[in-house]
Amino acid sequence: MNYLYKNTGGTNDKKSFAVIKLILLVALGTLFQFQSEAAGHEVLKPSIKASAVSTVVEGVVKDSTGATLPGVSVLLKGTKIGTVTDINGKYKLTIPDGTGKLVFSYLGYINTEIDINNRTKIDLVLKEESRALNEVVVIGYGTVKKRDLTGAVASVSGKDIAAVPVPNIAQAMQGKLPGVAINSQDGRPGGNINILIRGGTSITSGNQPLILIDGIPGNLNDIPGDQVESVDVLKDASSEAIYGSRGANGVILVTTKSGKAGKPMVSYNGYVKINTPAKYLQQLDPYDYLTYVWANAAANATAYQTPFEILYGLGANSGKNTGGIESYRNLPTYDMQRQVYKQSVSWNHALTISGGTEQTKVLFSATYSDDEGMKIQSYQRRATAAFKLSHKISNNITFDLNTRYANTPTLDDESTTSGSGSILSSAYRFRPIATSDILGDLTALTASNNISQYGKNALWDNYSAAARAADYDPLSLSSNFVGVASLNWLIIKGLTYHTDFNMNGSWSQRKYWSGATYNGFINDATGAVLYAGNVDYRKNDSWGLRWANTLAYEFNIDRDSHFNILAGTEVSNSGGTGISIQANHFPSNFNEQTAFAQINQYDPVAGTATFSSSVSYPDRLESYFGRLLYSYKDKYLFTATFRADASSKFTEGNRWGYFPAAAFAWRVSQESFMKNVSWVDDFKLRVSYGAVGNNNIAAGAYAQTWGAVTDPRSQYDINHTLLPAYQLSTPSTLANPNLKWETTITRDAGTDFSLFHGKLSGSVDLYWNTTRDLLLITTIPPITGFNNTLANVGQTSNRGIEIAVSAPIYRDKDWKINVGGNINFNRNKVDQLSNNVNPLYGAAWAGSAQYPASDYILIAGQPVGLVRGLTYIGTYTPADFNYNNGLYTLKTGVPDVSSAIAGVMHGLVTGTDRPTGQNAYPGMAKYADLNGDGKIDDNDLSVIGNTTPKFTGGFNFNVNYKNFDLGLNFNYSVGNDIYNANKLAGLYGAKEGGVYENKLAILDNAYKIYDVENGQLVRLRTPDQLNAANTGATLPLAYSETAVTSTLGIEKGTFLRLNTATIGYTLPKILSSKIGIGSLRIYGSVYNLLTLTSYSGLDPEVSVNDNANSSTYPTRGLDFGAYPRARSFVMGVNLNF
Amino acid sequence: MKTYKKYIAAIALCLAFTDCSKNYLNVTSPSNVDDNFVTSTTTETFKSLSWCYANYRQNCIMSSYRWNDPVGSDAEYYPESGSTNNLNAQLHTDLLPVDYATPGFTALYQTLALASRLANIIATKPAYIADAAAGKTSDWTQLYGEATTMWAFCYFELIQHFGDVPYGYENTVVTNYALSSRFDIYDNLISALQKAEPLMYPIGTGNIGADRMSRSFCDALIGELALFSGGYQTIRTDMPALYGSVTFTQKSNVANGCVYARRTDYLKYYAIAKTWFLNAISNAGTAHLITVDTRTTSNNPFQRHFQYFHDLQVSPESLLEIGNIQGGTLTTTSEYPYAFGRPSDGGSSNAAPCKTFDALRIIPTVYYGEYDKADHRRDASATVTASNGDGNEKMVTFVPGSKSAGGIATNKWDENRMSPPYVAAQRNSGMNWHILRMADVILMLAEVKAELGDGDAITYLNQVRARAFGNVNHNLAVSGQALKDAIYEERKLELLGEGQRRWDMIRSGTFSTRAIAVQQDMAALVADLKAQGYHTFANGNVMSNYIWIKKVALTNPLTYDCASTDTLTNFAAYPAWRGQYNYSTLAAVSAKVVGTTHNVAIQGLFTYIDPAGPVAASLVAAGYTKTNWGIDLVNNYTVYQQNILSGILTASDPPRYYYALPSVIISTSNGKITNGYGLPQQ
Repeated sequence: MNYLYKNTGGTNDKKSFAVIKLILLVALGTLFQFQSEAAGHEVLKPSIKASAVSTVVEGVVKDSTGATLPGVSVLLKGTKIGTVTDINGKYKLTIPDGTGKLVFSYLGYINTEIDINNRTKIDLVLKEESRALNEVVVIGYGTVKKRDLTGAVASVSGKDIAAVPVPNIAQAMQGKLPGVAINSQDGRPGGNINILIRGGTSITSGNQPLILIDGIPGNLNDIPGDQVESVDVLKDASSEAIYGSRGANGVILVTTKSGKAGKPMVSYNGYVKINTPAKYLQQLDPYDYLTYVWANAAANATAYQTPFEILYGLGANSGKNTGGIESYRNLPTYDMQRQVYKQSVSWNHALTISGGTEQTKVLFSATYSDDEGMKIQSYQRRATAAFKLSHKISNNITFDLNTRYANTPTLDDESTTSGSGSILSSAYRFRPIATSDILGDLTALTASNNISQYGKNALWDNYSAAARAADYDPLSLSSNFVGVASLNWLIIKGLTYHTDFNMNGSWSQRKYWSGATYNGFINDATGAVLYAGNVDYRKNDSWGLRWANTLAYEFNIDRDSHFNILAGTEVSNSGGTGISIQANHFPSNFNEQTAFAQINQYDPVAGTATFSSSVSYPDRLESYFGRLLYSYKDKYLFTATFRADASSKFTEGNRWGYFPAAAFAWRVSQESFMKNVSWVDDFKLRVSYGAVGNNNIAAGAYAQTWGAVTDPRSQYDINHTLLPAYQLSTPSTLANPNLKWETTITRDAGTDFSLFHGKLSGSVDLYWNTTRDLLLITTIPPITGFNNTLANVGQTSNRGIEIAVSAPIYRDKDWKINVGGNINFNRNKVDQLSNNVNPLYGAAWAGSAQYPASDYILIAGQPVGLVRGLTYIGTYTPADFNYNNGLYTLKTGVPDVSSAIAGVMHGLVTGTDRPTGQNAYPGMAKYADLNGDGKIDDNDLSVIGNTTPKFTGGFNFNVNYKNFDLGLNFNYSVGNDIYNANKLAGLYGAKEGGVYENKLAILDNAYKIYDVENGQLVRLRTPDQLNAANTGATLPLAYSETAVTSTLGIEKGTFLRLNTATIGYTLPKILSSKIGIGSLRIYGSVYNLLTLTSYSGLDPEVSVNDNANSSTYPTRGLDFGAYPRARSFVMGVNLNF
Repeated sequence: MKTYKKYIAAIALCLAFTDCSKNYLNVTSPSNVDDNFVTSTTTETFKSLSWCYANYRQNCIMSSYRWNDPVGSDAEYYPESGSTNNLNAQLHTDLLPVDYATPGFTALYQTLALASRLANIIATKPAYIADAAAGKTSDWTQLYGEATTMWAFCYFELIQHFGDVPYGYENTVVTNYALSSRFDIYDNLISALQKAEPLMYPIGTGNIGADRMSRSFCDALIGELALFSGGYQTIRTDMPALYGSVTFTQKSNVANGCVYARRTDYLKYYAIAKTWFLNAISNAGTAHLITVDTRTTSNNPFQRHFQYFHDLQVSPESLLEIGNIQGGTLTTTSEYPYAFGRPSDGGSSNAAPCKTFDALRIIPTVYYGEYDKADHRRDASATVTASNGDGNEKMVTFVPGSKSAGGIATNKWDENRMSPPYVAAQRNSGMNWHILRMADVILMLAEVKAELGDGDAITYLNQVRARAFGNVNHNLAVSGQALKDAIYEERKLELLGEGQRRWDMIRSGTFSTRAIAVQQDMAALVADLKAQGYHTFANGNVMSNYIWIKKVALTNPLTYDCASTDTLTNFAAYPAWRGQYNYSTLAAVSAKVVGTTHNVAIQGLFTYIDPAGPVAASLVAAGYTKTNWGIDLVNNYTVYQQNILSGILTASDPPRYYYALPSVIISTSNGKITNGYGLPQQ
């Protein structure tokens, strides 16, 4: 017996032989070889026993760097005689008769055939495959090879996405796609992701791209990274127009993995993640807090000051704390923030089983992730299941079934309130002194005084941010089901009919519970719970149906002309229903569970209940589309698309929108004159032009209809009984029957290139998108009974350059180093504003206390997101005044601030400290008198911040060393301003509840009109006293009840973030196969490892909510009430069987 | 051939799946219904009108102007120092940003637009047409009248607060509009209401209470529209064509493009007003002046009207009340009693009682100097004590501020007087407040009759006085100018804190003179307090720099009318109508109640006690504490100077009490509209 094992062609033999062959080829290629014997039998023999009568060919295979390549498959063409190169790239193969061709193949390199021609030594340099160009790119209703693309499409592979262990795949896409700005909200579990492709087109009618998961509109958060095969982003009309009405803001196509024929594959990916807050806000330490709040309390009233002194043992009320304020000097800070949010642990498990035959392929995938929030009482837990089936019914008909289900409970709702932000973001305002460290009289907390009246949130442990957050359960439950059944029928060669029918359903519940502490239902004197809490219970169901049919015909006229024609129709429909119940004041014996289970048991005397139901407006679309792809000699590529959409959102005459687009690409590298330019592998120029539409407005906006009132404030009460009421469905918006499509014209010129044998590849795009007939809220005079109407007015544009490159900069047998990056310059501009558009709008973060009420402005010729405010130039100082016995009278020529800006200033008595009619006083903020009229008022407001970045992008390094891999992904944003409202919120003095709150540490540098001298609080009055106490003051007195937007709140938002750093180790196959597994990789990863920025807030990525307080237009760049971002440490494993 | 069939099959499939029906894209939702649905029955129609009332309550009245109406007079002021809340009340409207009153402006038009939309829909209903043709009052004709009254009422409020405004542009897209003369608008409103009024229900019939707009209210509103059209007001001089052929008698200089004037044919309008005030009384239905108090605790029919609010009942004296609900989940439904009620330093929830801001204070010279001692209205209208939030009464102070600071407070709304008080949260007590009550109508009738020279004007005045004093001994017998003055003075005392005084001052043509007069009264008071520690008023009352107070316990800590002897013997019961609800009996807050001596006994409030004298010493010995009173006023006088009509500097300037029209009205008017009265344009 001269062989080890023989494949006799029997079924079992075939299979097991194939497996053994694979293992041995890979692991022990030089020791064994396979030979075909008669009648399809194959044998495995030790190579030393090779037949001596044949020619032996040997050689070394190297790559273009000269490094030897181990593991290259070498096969005698047309036979099963083959081997693989050894660790030194060497191979040796016995050729029966010395002729034939050797085929060298290796993943990532171009397959190369060499004629043996009786040679015995054949060395070879394998050329690297320019992978990018052969990748298949998903475009609408089909795929195309990247080399044949005529439009601007950016792609990222599923592998790259899976390498970043984050719950939402959009985060993994951050910085990797040129022209796609991805902004993640903040650190909350299930946080929103804001995606802007080429700057976004619309102002109010949505800027988010169309997200299609396997062709079906969906949510990126429902797709675990493991299930992603690839993500392709369509950026210009030539690719988007096939989606017509929905493509205006770009299209993100997510393709999920499918089953493959072959032996069953089982893979498991899992990780554990430790989230730590990347930053806490810096607050005043105990001593500075006491100094500040003591003075602030005194400025408000003695009724605030005295209980504060008694509590801490200060000044005249030091009591048994004989040391007074000095006793607190070196006390450690008691940081409430650290109780409200802290380290948390998240888990993720993903299991995929796939397999099948050529006939039937299946994939099943199940994932579970438990993302614990850093805030106490917060999490997102997601379970998903997906099942995909592809079955060949006959030779030319394939049936596909694709179903997905996701169930996501989320416990989190960081709603913000005026002036303070969220409970979390204002946690620093709690006293920085632990109860056990308070040296005065603790009964001052509960005595009848201004502390028990107003200071509970700032001073009482029972009402601290942590206590309130713990007493609030904002639970949202959502389930989604998506199912697609499709049929592909190859009618004749080249002609394919495809139909797919899609159904989706989603079921969501909102079960918000707020308890007794959160609602103040506690008798503070006895601690008795008066009422258990309040319930907000809503259920919404929605469904969608979609049916698309396409007919595609691919044919050649002659050898050079290749056509691909597609025509199709699509209809879609959607609807839903909702029910909502709010009941409050549940009896004290209730808890969350019993209250939800018996919602009508609220206390009807103290509380109220409201309930309502709704049926959503159907949203229907009827579409026809077609596409022609024509390529000539593989050199000239031409695409034309056309789509006609009719939307139920418009009245009959305005329903149809027509969206044509065309593109042309020239593969210059295919030209004969380029034959000798060896350093160019591939070079393509392309241009495109086309139109896409947007109908992202509420359904039914063209008709003035009525709906049931759900807010008791809009219902009248007769005999003290609430009456049901109707109101107009849009009480302040006049219906406009003339609404029509918003249209975006995109123009793109770009190039895709691969140079120096794949050493440098990438693309450069120039684009200019213009959106006209903007569906914009326009102001109409309120004398109509309405404030606004939706109309097609105005125009915006985005112009930009995108550059993306990737380069394998070094490679040898052990090392592989790849670098890639992109940079995007986008210039967003409002081209025209109609006269009816009121350009002023506000974020209202401080509610009615804010000045100016409109802190944002739209200006024609400028980008969206301009902040409007005053220019801070320092504080008034005694030198600005004539001083007379306490009274500071402004010198002539020094402008006064208007009373609207100065607001109610605590601690100043008009007539004693400043003359009647004058607002200024030393320490108050001084703003630039821009119009030079000698006073500071509304006329001195100007644009003080531009929140649009000059450029953004990302770059990454990937290093492989033997079995180790390292990946670093960076993203950055340059030149944008951030509107740090959180900081400004600390610079004004809310009354009552605000008096006892701690402040940000920057208030250390605020102007003082009180000081502590010999343990007593002293009001500084003379210029000498004020000057002496304020030599280093940079910030104004924070005693005004008015929150002013000024340059003090505008900061540079430039940042560079090392978004993810991953290091992995893959077990050598030889080892993993020994323990019975296909492959095993373990990795560690750090998310948000490093952020370089000068921004003083929690994080420079802000404001994913573009419409703070339902502002009319986007409030970009606003930082208010943010949830701190995590720095996460991940340990994970990828396992394949 | 086979291939050909396949082609056909494929194309047929594609086409078959496409629904070309137009109906597919015609969509509706049963949650979004049309005009017909919401007016299918009278009950359904009222549900739409329900929104108008609610919108008036939530977004019109309290959003901006209502804050200033009651505090911008010679009887009332706003208590805080340096606030911009009362710049209008001070007559410093030019210092307000242009869009200060935009929310109120917008909400009024929003309300009137919906009301007029409803009136138009109702007018096409066959049932309405039939009833109207037959002259039959039915639910449909009531609803038509109610919607029309709501529409007119909102325009009336717009004219009062903004002067001449655009008229008649509701529910359309407007590109071209201009200001209408207020006098034309008044004429239109009067004629529209006269048409609708005959087929409305008077109060008490057709299930219409005073918390809806009735025929009774509509009649009075027509009277008011005529009266305000005929009365003095500040009109624009910068738009010569605005008022057409109407001519005016001027009362002031022309300044800031405006003048204080009244139309020369004003008597014609006073005559209309007279007719309709008389109609309001004869069509009052069950509404009437409350002259009998059957309570065991007190005999004060004037206060009885306000007690109905506290008892969560509709007062029979009201012609129109704004309806409220207690314990609403959302704030501001009871904003009025919070903003204008008896002050409380309580916390925002679960306090005894909860916080009451009280933005409305009574000028001390009015409190001390203008009420007769026998007048039962003073103590029911104003108070010198507040609530501490822990079941205890406390003195107010003259230190500027809100709650217990800020000066003598209003007393017409006081959560202590509810049974039981709503202690769960501030601004949620659910008390109603009235828009118009019978005493007001009677006094307006007296006013027009006096102007028209009718001999019986005095009887209407005395009807109100007799109720206030509980007898006819204080009836007046005056005529001519003295009668007119007496009627305005009576309105001041009767309607104190109800938001009427400012309009009386304007209408009477005496705004600036009266403003200067009260400033002088205050100056005299402060000068005396400064110089001698007290000031003596003409009626014998004395206000001093200090008072002496002591915490005492009353069996029932809430006080009512006091026996006349109490003024001498029970210092905790005089002034009357104060004290505290007995919160120990309320489980929710009983633990908050501090101590047992909940009442404040006050000495020296109306007489002078020499701080250095023996009386003071004996009071201290008896446990009284010397407490700042007028001295705080002296020390903060500049704030009072600012807050009390400081925008009026001379008696000859036109008062500028209007708010600016919103900037959007100006910017989208193609240059046709500018703000007058020297108000900002942008």
